[in-house]
Amino acid sequence: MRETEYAFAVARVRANEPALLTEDDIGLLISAENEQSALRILADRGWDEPADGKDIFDLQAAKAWDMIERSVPDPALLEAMVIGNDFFNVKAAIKAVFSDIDPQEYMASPCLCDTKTVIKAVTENDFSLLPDYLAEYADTAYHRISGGESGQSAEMILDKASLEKRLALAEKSECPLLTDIVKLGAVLSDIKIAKRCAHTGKKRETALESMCPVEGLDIEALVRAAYEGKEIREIIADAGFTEIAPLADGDFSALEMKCDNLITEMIKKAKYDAFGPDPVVAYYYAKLAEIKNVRIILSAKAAGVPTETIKERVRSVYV
Amino acid sequence: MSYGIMFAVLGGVLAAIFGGVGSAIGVGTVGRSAAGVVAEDPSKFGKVLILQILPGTQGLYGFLVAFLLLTRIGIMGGSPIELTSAQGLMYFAACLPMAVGGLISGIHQGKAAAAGVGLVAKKPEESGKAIIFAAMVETYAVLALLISILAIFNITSIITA
Repeated sequence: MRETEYAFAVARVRANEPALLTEDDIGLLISAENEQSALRILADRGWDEPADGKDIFDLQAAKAWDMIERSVPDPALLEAMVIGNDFFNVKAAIKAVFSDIDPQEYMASPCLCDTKTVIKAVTENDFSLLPDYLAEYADTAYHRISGGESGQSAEMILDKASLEKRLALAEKSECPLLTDIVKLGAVLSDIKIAKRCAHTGKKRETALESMCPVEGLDIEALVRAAYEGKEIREIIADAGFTEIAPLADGDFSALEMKCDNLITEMIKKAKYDAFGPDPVVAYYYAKLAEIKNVRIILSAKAAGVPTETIKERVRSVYV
Repeated sequence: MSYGIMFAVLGGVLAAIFGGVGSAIGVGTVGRSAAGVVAEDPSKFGKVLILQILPGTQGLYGFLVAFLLLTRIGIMGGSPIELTSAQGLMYFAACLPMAVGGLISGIHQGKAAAAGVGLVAKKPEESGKAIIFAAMVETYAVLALLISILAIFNITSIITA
């Protein structure tokens, strides 16, 4: 697709960017006296309170997605950005059904497959209701749990399928920025799986089966190193992910934060692009990062976490 | 009728076509961007409209060159002058700067103006700069127009001398 096809979408994104929270806004939120003060600051910056009892974060994500969905000319790009939520919804629905709780409140949006259909398919054990890209994996995951296997093994199937589909769609959308972001997510996931499986004493084959192959990353070497208790930073660096390699042997929260900040650095390069899909992808991920930051701050405020601790947890911002 | 008049008319037609195509693509590109901004903020219509107009000039220049040429060779008056093939090719060549320059500058001015629309969307107070960036491309369309007009006038002088 020609890059000028995105002119409309990019212009809408540029018009919406000034409404994103800046570093100063985040600073104000962090230094707010309490959760209510933080909510007032957010209201001043255009974060309206949802009228229909909807979650404030869902409302922000829905507004951003609505704008993007109406503007982007390439459906493959849209699918690549949100298909992960479909797999998440199947996972949440299966867990909720087996735990005998209402799955609706755990559904993530935006998504490609209607959440009511997902819930119906899982509740009625009729996965033909789901689209092809979900049905097979949902069926396998469901029957693993009903067959007595752990919920974790079902999760692994869906997580791997989600990453593989996202990678394939990102490559199809011909948006290198999105492909790089999804690859980074896949590497992070592979690191976690290798280390968790090694830590919990699962078979190596289980770890390998659950990992998403990423171009350049030797997942067998990664699993071997994790099981032998060796450092994995060199394997990650050799795969080209030098920025996160130094943190690969540390705790997951620091690594996750590094990945989030790295994504922000990656998307910042699209700030000055006038055409193409990159500015749209950048805006979407900037909005997700913003929502994540606000969520961290509000939860911390509600729990009375000290300001300095909140500052350490907050991710870098796009604007 | 000789091939000369055919070459000359072909030159004029190409100047009009390619100038028009360059402008159509350029204006279309800016139009998409402008629509995106106006969808979010209708108050910016005036500012983005100026940017959208800018790549439209190449089409006018192409029309002007074609009109001048057709007048000079008598097509507009209904009595075409006799031209040799060499003279016809000279007129044809005179139209090429406007045809090629109009096409390329129209497309690129459209891209520059569309980027300017993005600037206006984020910082409306910088709209003057956005216009200047896009207008810089106009220089080359004007140069192409000048050389085509000068060539058409002087070829006529040579032929009639």
